[in-house]
Amino acid sequence: MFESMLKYQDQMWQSIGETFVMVGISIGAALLLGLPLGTLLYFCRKGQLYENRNLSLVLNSMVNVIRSFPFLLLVVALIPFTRLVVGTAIGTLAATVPLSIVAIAYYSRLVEQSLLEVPRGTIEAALSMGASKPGIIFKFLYVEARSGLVLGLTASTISFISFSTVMGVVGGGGVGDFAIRYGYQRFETEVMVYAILVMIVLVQLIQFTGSTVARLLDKR
Amino acid sequence: MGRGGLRILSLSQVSKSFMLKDGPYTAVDQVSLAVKAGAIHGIIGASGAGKSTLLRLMNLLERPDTGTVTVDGKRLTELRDKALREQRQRIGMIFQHFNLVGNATVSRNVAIPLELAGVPRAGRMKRVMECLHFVGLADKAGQYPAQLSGGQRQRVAIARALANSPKLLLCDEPTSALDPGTTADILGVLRHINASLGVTIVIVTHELDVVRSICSEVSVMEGGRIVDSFSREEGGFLPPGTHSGSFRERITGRTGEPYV
Repeated sequence: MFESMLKYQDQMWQSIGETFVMVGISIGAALLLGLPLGTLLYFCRKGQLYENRNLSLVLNSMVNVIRSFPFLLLVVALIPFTRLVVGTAIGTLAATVPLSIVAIAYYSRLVEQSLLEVPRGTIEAALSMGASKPGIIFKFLYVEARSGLVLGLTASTISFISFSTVMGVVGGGGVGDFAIRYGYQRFETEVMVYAILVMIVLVQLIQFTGSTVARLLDKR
Repeated sequence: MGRGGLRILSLSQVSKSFMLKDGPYTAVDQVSLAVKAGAIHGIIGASGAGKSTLLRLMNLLERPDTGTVTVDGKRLTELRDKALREQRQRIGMIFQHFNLVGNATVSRNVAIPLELAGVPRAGRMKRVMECLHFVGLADKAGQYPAQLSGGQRQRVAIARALANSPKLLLCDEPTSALDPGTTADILGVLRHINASLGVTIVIVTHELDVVRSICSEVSVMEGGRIVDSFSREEGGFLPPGTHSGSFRERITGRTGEPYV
């Protein structure tokens, strides 16, 4: 095992780098677009502050369609779009496009769920103080839901890592692709186990960090 | 209000219905009510009488189907979004379950309404401490609501409601989640606010002792209507204790003229 670890050290570091790029950009997309989308999903729901049946229906359908696609097929289906955005459908950067789309849909759902846990009374207090929409969102909703938002992002990140393992099909690379090509397809079981161990450690670290941060943020 | 005094709040013919599964339900039915500046006005009644809905109509947390709401000379029912928010900043409100922001410190909770009203940073902290001093919690400024007792949390909520120096304070069952000793304590704070700051208070409650101990005037609600109305000036209220009879008899010890 140590032998194969040494032998493929360079490839492994490169793969980890690729995984970080793919997952990192997806997290960025989740925060930048998934958070507002999830907030909109929450506000448009029946019985919520800006109840809007039509918008709710459209947004929910979009999120559900993206989430129900077998991920590999979504990657293929998005190839023209990916080409439009990054100029090519092959490589690590290209792989981040479908991954980010799934990340936005996935995280928005978790954001919606976290916000639903904020007590109605808190929103009512905000309204009674004359809070504007941004005031309600940033001074009440996100403050109360912050540990849930962090836990959701943690769970999402771990899912993105899992999704990223199939990005080999479009030359995205990453630890998962390394495990498949070197370990599985070349019958080097040790290499495969090595790559899987790396991923286990990665996931453990992310979950531990996320849980700790969420716990520290929760003062309720 | 024959005895004069400025009206800080008046409701005129307000009604509010909700759509339930088995048809519309009228929570507040054609209610007119005027509250004098400086009063502590109690609204009492059984559960489901429409008390809380009536209170929430006063700052338009619920928009009435018909009728008008006027607070401090401003007709709230005619205001657009932004103007209504500005008026709400001048009306304090406290709740049965306090509704504090659990992830914010005591001082931050009190600072939020000031931020919303656009008070500059420099003045904010000073005002926060003033309000916390007023409710006797200056030493808890850095703590979180979860570290406080129920009574202390309600004091924080009161400090928060006072931050923007309101003329009117709406209280929705403010002592119903508290034990009797703490209730007396919170009622003392409310009385103090009324006496020393001149804030008019409207207090919704189902507890007779709350009315007996601090209210200067009372409206009794039943089935979405105000069915009786009387004041302390007419001859005082009974001391706290249990009695039977109508709400008026239980509070004043006397039967009254039929309410029209």
